[in-house]
Amino acid sequence: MNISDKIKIAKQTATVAGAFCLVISLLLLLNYLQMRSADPLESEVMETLVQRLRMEPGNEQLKQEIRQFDLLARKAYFTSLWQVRTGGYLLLFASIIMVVALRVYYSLIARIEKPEDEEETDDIAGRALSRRWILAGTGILVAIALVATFTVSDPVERYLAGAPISEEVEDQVERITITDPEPRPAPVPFPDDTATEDEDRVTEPGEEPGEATAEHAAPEVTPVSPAAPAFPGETAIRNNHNAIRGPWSNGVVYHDNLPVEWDGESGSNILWKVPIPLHAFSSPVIWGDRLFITGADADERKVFCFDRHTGDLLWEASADNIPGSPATPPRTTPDTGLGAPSATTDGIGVYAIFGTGDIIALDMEGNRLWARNLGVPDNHYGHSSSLISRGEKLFVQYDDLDQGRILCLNVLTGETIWDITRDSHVSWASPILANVDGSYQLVVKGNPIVAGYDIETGRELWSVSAMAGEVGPSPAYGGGLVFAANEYATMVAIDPASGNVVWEDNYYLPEVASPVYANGYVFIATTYAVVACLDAQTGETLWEYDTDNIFYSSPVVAGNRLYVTDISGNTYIFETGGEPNLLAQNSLGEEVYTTPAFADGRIYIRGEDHLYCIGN
Amino acid sequence: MERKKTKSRREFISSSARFGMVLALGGIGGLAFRKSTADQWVWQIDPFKCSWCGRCATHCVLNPSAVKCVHAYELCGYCDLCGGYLIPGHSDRSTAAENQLCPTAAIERKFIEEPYYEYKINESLCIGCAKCAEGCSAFGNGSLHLQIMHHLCVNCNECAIARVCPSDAIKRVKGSDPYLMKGDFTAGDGET
Repeated sequence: MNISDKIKIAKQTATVAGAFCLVISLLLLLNYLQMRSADPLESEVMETLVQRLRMEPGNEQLKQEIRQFDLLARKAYFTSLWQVRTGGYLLLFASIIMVVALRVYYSLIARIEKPEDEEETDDIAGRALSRRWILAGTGILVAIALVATFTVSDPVERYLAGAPISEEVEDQVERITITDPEPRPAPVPFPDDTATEDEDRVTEPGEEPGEATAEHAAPEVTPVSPAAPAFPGETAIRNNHNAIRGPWSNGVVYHDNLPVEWDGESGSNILWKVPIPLHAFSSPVIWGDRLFITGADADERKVFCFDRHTGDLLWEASADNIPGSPATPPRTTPDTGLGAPSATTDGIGVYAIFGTGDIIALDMEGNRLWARNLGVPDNHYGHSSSLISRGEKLFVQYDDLDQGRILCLNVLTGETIWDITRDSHVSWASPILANVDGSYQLVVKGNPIVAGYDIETGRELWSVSAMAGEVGPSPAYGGGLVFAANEYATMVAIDPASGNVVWEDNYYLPEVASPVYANGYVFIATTYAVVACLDAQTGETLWEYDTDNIFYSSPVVAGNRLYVTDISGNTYIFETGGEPNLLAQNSLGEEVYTTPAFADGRIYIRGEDHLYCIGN
Repeated sequence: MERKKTKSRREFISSSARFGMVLALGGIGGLAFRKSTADQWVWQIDPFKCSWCGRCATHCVLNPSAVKCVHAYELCGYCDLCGGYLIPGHSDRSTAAENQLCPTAAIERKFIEEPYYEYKINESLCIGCAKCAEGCSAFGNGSLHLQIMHHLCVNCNECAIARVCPSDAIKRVKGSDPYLMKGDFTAGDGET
């Protein structure tokens, strides 16, 4: 074998090894992308099949399907791991061969004698050529680096996207210039805007309105400036369902003539039923004749307005083109998604927030008032804390992975009134407003603290470290106490005037649904299908009731009745007393993960696919 | 013979330099010895803080993760109805795929005597997803829990999972005692 043959063999070996490396690299890349886009162990198909089996436990064919699918999924996962491992070794092996072959090739080339007639290379010219190539190469690298600087996103910046936002956020507020020559229509006057203080006092469930005392009275109308609209007073809020779990997000509604029996399958007492245009886990809110829900997926985030008497869709508005909004939505789990937080309304506007960090304000006709992005939340399930407002202030619980945070925004402009961080981690609970000794506190639950905040300044008034794990249920207030409970932690009753823990119990604890207070009792609904009643003053468990399924929907008290709906759509109606008195159990025939909204004589339930109006 | 009592300047400098070098060598040797025998710090999960978010499976630099489920047998109730083994709403208490919570069937169930079953983790199949640990804590006593396995862990300078752990459950512990197993310690014992 002469030297030319050796050169040929070395060259061919290096080429083949190089091509092999390229193919293996491409296959590994494809494997990575495939696993990233569709993890076989987290398949939605499997989830759907298991859900179906729950509905049809005796379906043997379905069981066989699940077993086959499970086998395929595990095979796909472990095969992928094997491919990555084997591919890595092959790549290493082929790379070594390629390097050795190249080394041999260049060594052999160097040994070839120069033809005698070849002219001597001019060393100086060669060096000059090399310098030119080095300069050109460096210039290209610098140019690429400059282009990359301006076009490639910074992963550190993305990582820090969830960190507390600085004043720069203010620049991201999209300000709408109102060019309408006509003045903006005045908000619908609220019948209670001229009411007396006694009429405005919040009546506890089971308590006669006449029992109100002056010390509990709260200011009626809260004008913020001569140009500002009149915000609704206590009575107007009480007459509506302005936030998740009703007025002040406290789980107590003030309506009569509510239905006790209905049936989704036969349509009994179902006044109307309409499909939901865009899925989400947010709950409906109501002001006057209008009902609002939100919907979201990876492509769009929307607010929908329905006529609550007919079910007609009056308008829909998209939360799009918002400065600072991420081009790619953050990754969330299917049981939370991007539309888990519920909207709130004050009759002047509707305010909604999404898992992208986008928050939007619309007037009652669906016209955008303002919108901004609060920074993409770093939340491994997805942001789910709902909104609540009082007067000009809109409160946003924005607990992030590393830092608890609350923002107070101006409902008219979206500008930040105050913004505080707090000593807590990520949570999924929502804030409530508690009227403590005549002034409102924002009561917020997180991990590990339950705390009350001055709504004017955001100053922490009291704080109790009692929660742990993943905090989902929101607090409740009643009988002068704040109640906070969480699975894997405990339930505490706190005096919000002093911040002292009055009692603690951990026998029955909710994981998702929030507790509610009524008539001296606290009610909780658990994810192990138990509804329990505790004495609000002592924490003693008075009764428990085993139901058919688990609860994500929070219980709501109306008068002397407790309404609570399990995830299969069964609503249990109890009397709010110290004995377990089940008045009715009604099936909707559709899964329910949201909390119903109430209006005079009507109950509105958002199922997985439909919105229901129930009434006598 | 008259004994020489004084040293010349040259001798003094020379012996000082030798002494200094011996001291420096001794110091370096001592430091090296100390470093070689000192406790190494490694990452570990405090099972009492873990909130079973699933990030141990997805954020470890290794694939599959170095985090595995372990079983504190002294705490286990050996129940037939195991919340860590059976999916909520299972149709039957059997080993069939539709009843298993573990996505990779890494938990092996073995009958002992009526009504007791032993649940053993097959480490080679476990991906550290924490589904069983969550189920065991929801319906049992939490005897199934996660630990970073140190024969797999590459002990990154900053643990990639610790960076994203929502409950700050991952912390450094002494390499001489690298596990925080339930049963061996209770909440707070592992504080460092």
